Amino acid sequence: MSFVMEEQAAASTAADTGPPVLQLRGVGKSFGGVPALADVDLQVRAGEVVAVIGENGAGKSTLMKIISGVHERDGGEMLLGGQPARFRGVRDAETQGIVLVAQELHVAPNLSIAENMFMGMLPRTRLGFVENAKLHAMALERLAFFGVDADPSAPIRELSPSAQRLVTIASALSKSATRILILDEPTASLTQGEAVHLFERMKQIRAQKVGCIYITHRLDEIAQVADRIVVMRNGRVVEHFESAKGPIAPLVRAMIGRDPEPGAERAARTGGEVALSIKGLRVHETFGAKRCRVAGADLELRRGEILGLFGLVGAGRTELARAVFGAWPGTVEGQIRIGRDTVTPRSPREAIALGLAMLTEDRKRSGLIEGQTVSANISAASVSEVANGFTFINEAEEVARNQALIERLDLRPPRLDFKVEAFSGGNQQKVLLARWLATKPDVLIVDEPTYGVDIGARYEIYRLLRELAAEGSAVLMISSDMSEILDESDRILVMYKGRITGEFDRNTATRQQLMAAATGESK
Amino acid sequence: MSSTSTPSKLGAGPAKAAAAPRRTGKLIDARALTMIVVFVVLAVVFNTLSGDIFLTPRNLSLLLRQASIVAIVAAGVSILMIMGEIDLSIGSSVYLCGVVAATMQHTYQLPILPTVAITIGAGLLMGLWQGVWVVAVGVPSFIVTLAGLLAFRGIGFYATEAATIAPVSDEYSALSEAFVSVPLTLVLLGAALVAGCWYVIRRHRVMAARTGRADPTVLTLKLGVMVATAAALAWIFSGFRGLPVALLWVFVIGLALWVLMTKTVFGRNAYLTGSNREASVLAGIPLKRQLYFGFVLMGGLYGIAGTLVTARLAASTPTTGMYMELDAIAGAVIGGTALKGGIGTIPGAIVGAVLLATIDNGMSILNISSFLQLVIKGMVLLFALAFDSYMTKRRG
Repeated sequence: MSFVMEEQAAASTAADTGPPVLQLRGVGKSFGGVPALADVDLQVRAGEVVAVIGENGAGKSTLMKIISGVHERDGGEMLLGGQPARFRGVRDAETQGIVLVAQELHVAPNLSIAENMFMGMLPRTRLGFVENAKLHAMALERLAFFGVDADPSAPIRELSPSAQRLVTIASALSKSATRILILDEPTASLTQGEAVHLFERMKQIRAQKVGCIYITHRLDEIAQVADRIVVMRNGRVVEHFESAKGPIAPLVRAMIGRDPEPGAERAARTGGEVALSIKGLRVHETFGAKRCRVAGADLELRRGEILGLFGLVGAGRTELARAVFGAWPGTVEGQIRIGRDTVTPRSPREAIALGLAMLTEDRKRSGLIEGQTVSANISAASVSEVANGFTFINEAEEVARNQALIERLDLRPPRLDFKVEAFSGGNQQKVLLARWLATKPDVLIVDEPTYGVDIGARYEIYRLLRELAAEGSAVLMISSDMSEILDESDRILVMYKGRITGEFDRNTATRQQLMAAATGESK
Repeated sequence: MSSTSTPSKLGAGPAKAAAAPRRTGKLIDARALTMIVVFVVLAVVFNTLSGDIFLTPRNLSLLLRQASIVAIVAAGVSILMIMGEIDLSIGSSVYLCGVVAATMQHTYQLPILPTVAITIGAGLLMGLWQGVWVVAVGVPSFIVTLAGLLAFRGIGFYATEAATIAPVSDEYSALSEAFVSVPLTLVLLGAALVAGCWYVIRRHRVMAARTGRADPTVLTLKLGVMVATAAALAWIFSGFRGLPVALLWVFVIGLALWVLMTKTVFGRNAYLTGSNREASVLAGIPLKRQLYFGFVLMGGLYGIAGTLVTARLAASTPTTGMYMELDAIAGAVIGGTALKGGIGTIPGAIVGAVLLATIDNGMSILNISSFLQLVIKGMVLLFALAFDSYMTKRRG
């Protein structure tokens, strides 16, 4: 693609060869005696973008939290502009020019865009009131720089998640004279087009001599945005690539410390009996609302297949899944047939009883039950299966069943009695998959199954989905990750603005076709 | 209150993951240890200042009887709090049940069994009423039970013109105020101790077989605490008339609720819905049924507490149950129940209630002004929570 070439040219000119803005030597950190980081060296020069990659739990986030003043380091030194630096908190780091844009969106949904952008540093009149005119002007200028066309006084919840992401970055940059900008998985919730847009903005940012640290799981975008690559594993920097233009395979090998398993070649299985069929499904925004999130969708899901449902964020895929699963709060019209029953589940409980299971998109909010053990999390949807007469839990039976599940999923560490929040993202996802496996579903809907999941666990999840399909379950895989859709589905449907805009065969589909259907350009 | 969860986005692989739960284990021990230390310190201080009155079987027996009613409702409210709900109506609900009980006994001269049944029935109705508003209408339980706090006492005042209803029969009073004879008390205590030790040892064996790392020191400590508690109770009860029947209620109800919360589907689901309600519903947990059950169960406990308080006072008085909801919630919180839901235990709530009663009793013995007592209790709650969040933070 041509813009990549331009991007690369721009990247090499923007990077400064002068002394590094930020330099870390031998930095270490441990939590409660357990080392999380050991002997990390890192340099960032003005105007360059350093990509930091690694599996979940490799220590990337810990390192970034040390740089941005969230944690104190235990050992080693940190130089900012050649001077030793030690921060007493995030504020302190920010005033010295280090800004972290976290992976999660931290916005106050009901406050205005402008208020969100300048939270904590609102311009004030002499009497202490907020100077609205000035705030508006400042926000407008920043938004324009990032190409976001929005009214600064509108509530931020009206923006799409990707626009909210851009606003967060814009506000981070406006906080002080930024010298180091840390972006933690900024494209995780962005569509491809929006990501490209972000990369273009980043060119402008680096032109202002800002050093950038870029954390990502999407290896294919690194070449477009980064100058150098640092690979972390088990709390150490294990490899250093002076150029970001190389092939991806060596990066993967450095990240997981071994060769990746090849994606198994297999014939598409699409001939099974219909497990779920949807005709003319309309999902209204709320009860009686005119606006539809899903505007007449048809699909058939067969036993033994993995049906990929591709689309951009907001295309209505999650809404479709939630409607089928009885978890949509608004009106649902149309015909849903599950197995042989024509029925629209009114609650997830009913849906589960009908043989449905759904791995939700937002793991932390609607999946994990934090504060509880792995075992309790796994049993959440199926505790009555291991209870005598639906009342007393048979603990021995429960433990035996869940132990078998975590062994099958290769949970690491394989502990049923640990609290679920102690695990890495990939392992948390395995726990949630185990929850649904325990219900022995006929139809498993997985919504962004590998979002925020490291490469190792990602392959495990794919393997498991394939196994499930091979055992006769039907899998509906919703994803915005095109490689995942192309590699793992037997059949592909594409959604755009609440409608199915394309159906593709796994062997003939191309990226261009999928993208065209997902952006409404086909037909 | 012990938010033992350590957000682990810091991420550092399995090694770190292994550390967090072990820390949690220590924290629970720290809480139990703190409780024991606080009890010992309070006992020594009160005993010294009161000239050896505090540590007598007579006084300790009284203390436990004073604690019994609050302990029962504290256990109940901790269940609601674990589910992420709250009950502010306890004091008024118990008062209204007491009015029902006293009316049945005094005005209608009903026998004991119908009286108790009607009282508990009234409590169940009140619980159901509040449950309907929370579940079917969707009003937050804070508001629903705040309304109950006002309305239930109002109903009681209106029906009785805020008068005391007395007396009730001695047989009825015996429901709370009788004693189990000393020999039988000792037999019961011994049996409870044996059963408790058997359970703890069996549990230890199961965990050792399952995880391969069960600490024998912890087992010894647990058994030690149980034996010491049983010995202390034996000394108290044999020194003053035997086991108070009020405590028998606490024991039976506490045991039942503990089994409910640790061994049953309802209990499991209660912890899950309290920890993450949205995820629980998406996992198919019947939230509405859970909440109804919780509120109706709480209603049953109003009835039992109302029965006990009427039997204890041999009357229904207009101030009965004042501030009881606060004592119950404070007891539950001191005993480790989190206001945000998902965390807490029945034994913890009961021990928390006993701790509050100890402070009450000690201050009364020392003749501290009842106005100051309120101040001191407020401060105790505040310091207990501050200390807990300090411990959690230091370890987290």
